[in-house]
Amino acid sequence: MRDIQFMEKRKVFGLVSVVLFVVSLGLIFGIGIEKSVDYEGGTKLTVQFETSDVQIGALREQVSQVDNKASLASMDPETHKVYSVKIKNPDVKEGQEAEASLARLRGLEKAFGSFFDAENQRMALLKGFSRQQIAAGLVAENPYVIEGTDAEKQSQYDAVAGQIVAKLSENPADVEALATAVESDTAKQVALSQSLLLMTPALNRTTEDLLAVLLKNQNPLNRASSDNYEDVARNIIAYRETQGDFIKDFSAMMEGVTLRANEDKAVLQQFFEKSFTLGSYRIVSNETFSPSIASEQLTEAAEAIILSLIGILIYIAFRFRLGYAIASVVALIHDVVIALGVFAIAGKLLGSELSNPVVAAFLTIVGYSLNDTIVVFDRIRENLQGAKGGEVADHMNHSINQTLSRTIVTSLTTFFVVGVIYWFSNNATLEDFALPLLIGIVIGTYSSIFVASPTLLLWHSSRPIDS
Amino acid sequence: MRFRWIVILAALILSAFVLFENEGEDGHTVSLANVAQNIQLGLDLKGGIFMQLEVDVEDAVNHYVEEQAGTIKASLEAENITVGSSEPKVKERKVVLRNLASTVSLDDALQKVKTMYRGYWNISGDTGELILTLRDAAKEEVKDEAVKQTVYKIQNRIDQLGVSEPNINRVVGTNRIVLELAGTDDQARVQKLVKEPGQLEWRMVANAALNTAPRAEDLQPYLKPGFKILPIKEGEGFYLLEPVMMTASNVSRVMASRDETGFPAIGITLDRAGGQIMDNVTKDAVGRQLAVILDGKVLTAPVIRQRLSNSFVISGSFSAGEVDDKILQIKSGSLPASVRILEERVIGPTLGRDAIRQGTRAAVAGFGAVMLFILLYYRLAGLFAIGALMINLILMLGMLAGVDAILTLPGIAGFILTIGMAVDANVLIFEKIREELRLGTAVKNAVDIGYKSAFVTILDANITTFIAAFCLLLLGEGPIKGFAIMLMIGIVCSIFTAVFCSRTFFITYLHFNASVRKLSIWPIWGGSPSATPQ
Repeated sequence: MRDIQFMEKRKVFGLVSVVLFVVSLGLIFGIGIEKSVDYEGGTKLTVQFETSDVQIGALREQVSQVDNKASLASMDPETHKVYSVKIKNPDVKEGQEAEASLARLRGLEKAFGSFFDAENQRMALLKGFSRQQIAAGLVAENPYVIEGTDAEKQSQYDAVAGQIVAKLSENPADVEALATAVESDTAKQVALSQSLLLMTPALNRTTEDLLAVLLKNQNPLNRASSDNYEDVARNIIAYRETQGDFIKDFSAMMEGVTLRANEDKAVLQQFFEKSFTLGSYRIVSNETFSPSIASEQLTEAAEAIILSLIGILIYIAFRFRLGYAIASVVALIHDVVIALGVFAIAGKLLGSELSNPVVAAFLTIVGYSLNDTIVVFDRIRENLQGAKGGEVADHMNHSINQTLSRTIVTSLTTFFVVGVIYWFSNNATLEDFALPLLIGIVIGTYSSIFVASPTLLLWHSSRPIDS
Repeated sequence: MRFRWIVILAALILSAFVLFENEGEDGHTVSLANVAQNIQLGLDLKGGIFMQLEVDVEDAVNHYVEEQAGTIKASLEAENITVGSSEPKVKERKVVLRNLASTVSLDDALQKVKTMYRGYWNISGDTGELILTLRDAAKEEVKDEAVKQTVYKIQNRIDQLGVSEPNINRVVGTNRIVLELAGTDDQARVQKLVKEPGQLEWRMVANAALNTAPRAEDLQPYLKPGFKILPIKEGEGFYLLEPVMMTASNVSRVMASRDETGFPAIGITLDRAGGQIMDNVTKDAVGRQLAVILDGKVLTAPVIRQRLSNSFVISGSFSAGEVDDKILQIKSGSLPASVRILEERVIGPTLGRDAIRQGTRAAVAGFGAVMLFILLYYRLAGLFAIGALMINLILMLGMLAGVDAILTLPGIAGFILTIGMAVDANVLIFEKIREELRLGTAVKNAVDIGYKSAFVTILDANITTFIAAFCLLLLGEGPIKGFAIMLMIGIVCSIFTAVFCSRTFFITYLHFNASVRKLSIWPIWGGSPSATPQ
């Protein structure tokens, strides 16, 4: 087999690399790399609807009313049920992050619910509550944080409950409107509406653990107080999973529930009908980062990358020689910058953003690209040590050729596997990881042949072979 | 050769044991079903809430100064020193006492104030205007307590959410608290619980005869309005409690103290109203129990030994540490420590379940593709590599369970990636063997040289990846940490399996086929040295 003359063409590839490098730098600073909420601050939320009836245009309009910075994207092009909402850098007063995130969540929930008449269902549920029930719920939630004896709490909340019942007959649009009608203090309004929301949970948005607690607190089946409702909760959630994660009506749900001998399913069904709404969407995930933690994370990410570069430089200088270390770090910086450049384009085309998983992927590129470079360098060193005369460039070229088959096979298998994650996993986080890795594998393979070795040659050219 | 097989088998058995074994409630079991329990999933896979909070400690100090202005005045008056006015200067962390007067000499009074408050305050001025400035050390202590109290408060009421194994930890050396609650996704409930002050109640334990009933139902008939049944401690029965007599607002000071025999005790000072209530209740309640309840949990229920007024101690067989804990808990009933939520990640229960499915699918597909390729490209040697890869899989899972690492979603990506990279070591070796074969080296020698010379390269290449993975750990974040750990585990396992296991297969093969002249290591589409002689 004749050697392929890589080193002869090093000037051409050197030029290609320099151009790519410069263009990438231009892309990185020109069009910029969008940072995700974990580096920028803000909220990223994924919602799943029961049906595919919600049109993205209508949803976008609803969501933009919550925050005009909100951007909406479909997460499943085939079924049209899952959407992600991103709100970057929302205007939040420092110290009010928690309140703001709840208000934002509530706003979005109203927006999602608007397609299913959710607020009316909730108000209907509240209307079904007796004054005593509402008062008892308020005593338990204690929205006004009343400190005092039980009797004091009872009497105060009973009065509030009375007002609530009265105002409910005027058909307020939602719990916020109801709270405003009942209470004048803004902070108390928020607390009161929060409590009313907690008192009217949606079954499709409840976890198994929480459902067990809610049932235990209300004790619809009149079980002994030391007893729990874990069995019922487990049945219901298992049934929900068989229904594509959405329960559509309470009576059908009862088929999935096994009760004890003396307990009546009808009682339980009635309880659910009177205390729960179903809920036609669920929040799959909701991540919120304050600007301070976001900038902290960005710094940490940069530190991790720089530290790993230094660590690797030291290791290679120790194992090989300084020239090898410099050459491999040149190749690394080349790789990371070009990968970032390609990532910037991907950001424009696919909406990819710099996030924690992406940085982790970039660090992996650092490791991976090195893996390739070291294999080539190892062979170069071996060949140079045993060499009797000849050009350094020829020895290097031969070394690259000797390792070429391995380079290609390893790159291909890794590319395969990562490609499978990217194209077939159907999972946003995994895809976030896979894209920069795919980019990195291609560039890392290229650089170990066309960048690292020529750079090493530059260093070696001033040193004779036998040194 | 036998030794090599023993090592491999031992590693496999150990991994399998770690994976399949479980010491549960129903004793020792070994089954496939235990795998799910032995591999710990991160919150991003099992669903839950991750929250990072920052306690506003400056606010806590402000609060402390404000509260002390009142407390100091009251305490001095208890010592027969009257104080004209006590003004908190919150911003400057000062309390200004004006016009101190005493029935004894003013100098003595001044001395008394100094001995009482020297520990926490720098004291300057005279009885006309005495300025107490909070010492830096005291400031730090107040800040530290504010964080501890918040942790206590959250821990104390977290079971309202029904979450199993909650993690509530202070980030060492900071004012931050990290909350990891699996099994809930109700942000509103968690926030409410974190932000609201604790509810402290003082109630008399109803009747000694009913006390410590084994079952709550036994007490149900006696439950009059305002009465409450609360468990004593897990599995120790129940208290029947009378209506609330006092709340946190009646408590003006809680401090570490000692009882008359010198044992650590909790010192309590009540405000005027609280003192009167206490006096009234305890005058004919000697011998009965008084319960202190925080957020529906009985902190302590001491027996009343004598008639009490506004200042008393609660003693038990407390250690000094227990006293500190209880003090923090009682205080957390009144302090509304303001917290900022820095980071909030809510993962619904379906996300992780779907991610595991999707990840497994990707892993199986990727693994399958790699196996097929290796088999076609290296034939028999490829089969050895696949065997090594299989062992690698089991070892990786075993190690994951064995070191109690947490599998996260990025960790799954790391797992899949490692499969791709694990082949690399074998590829390096096989290519070297092929090279030797092309040079005409005998099969056995070619194999030996291949393994020997590739080993250093494999080590170097993997150590650099290991360094990168190690730096990832510094990214400090749960899910990413999972990725880094997975990568590190993968590197260790793949070196072992690729170098040690696949070589064992070779050795065994060559042992039984000593006369083999052509090694089945060439691509299925040809390319053996006889076809293309070097």
